Amino acid sequence: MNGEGRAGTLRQGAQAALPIVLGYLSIGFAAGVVQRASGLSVAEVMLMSLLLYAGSAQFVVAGLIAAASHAQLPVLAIVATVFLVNLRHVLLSAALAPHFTSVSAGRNALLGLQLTDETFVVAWTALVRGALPQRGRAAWMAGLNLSAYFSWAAANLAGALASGLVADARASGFDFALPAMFAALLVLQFTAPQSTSPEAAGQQAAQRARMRGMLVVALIAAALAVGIALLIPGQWNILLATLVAATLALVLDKAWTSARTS
Amino acid sequence: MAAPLSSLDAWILIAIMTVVSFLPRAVFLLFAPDLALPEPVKRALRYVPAAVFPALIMPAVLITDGRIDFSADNARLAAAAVAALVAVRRGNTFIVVLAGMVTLHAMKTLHGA
Repeated sequence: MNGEGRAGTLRQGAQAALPIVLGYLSIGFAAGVVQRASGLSVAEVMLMSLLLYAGSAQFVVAGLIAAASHAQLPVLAIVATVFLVNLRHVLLSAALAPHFTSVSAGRNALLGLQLTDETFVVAWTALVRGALPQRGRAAWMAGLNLSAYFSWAAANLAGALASGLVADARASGFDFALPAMFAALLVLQFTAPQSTSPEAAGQQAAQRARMRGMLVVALIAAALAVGIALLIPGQWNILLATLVAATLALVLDKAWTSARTS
Repeated sequence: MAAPLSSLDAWILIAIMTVVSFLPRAVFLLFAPDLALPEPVKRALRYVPAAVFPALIMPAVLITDGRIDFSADNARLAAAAVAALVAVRRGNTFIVVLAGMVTLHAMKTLHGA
């Protein structure tokens, strides 16, 4: 691929990040305010933003540091929590990996470094809709990642600097941008244009069955995530709900397949 | 606003957290290309996106102060419904997010919250 082509793909990826940027600017600002208020310096907030680069984990860490204001800092608890909160990325990374086999390990490591729920969701939607080019896939992903990354950092910085001026950034409702985006992308998953290959007609029944399977999985995951959140304290719900629902899907998938072929 | 931790403590903590948040993200992208995953695992992974979206959305939208809020007063629920509706009509995610946020703010203003 020539240089211009790669730059173009990078730009396409950056443009695909637009809804993420909107969400990150608002929720990142809130994260900056909350972290600074927990007692971290602006420099430390920025280190967290640039190195940890994980919204929910940063909120949780700020909460734990603030709660420990007079006691010994529970380092082990904080590290374990961050690990737990980010463990769901294993599943996202694993889901993307088969589509990035042509990308070198070094580049994949860099792309993985900036993997978030949001970039995953946008990248996956692009994959499903066939909008992700086979060539220059790494460049597209890098464009997506970098715009998300820098908007997050900029918003964290602004929030950290403005902390003290803002009473309660989270209560303002800005953090809703991300659930709204997930809702949009969930719908897009189900309305994705079907493949137009010659065999497509024969595959339509299978496609419909898969859609139905996805819908069942989505409902199970939603119920589990809410139920676990209410029952188990901490951040287990997303990981557990995803794991259980995807595993159940496998069982159902098998049952449906054998029911069709028998 | 007194920091309970020294600067050095904070930086060491951040360093450990960086490693711990990087590993889950990169492990499969790094190694999976050479790693032949069993077929059932591959099939299950195809369902991960369908599972992870609702798992992220529903608790954020439904749970307020530790309990399920299904009432019409739940501005987030209403905003998510509007976002989903707009998403069905138009494919543009940016517009969907905007519509959701506008709905949320309108609801909050109406309720005086």
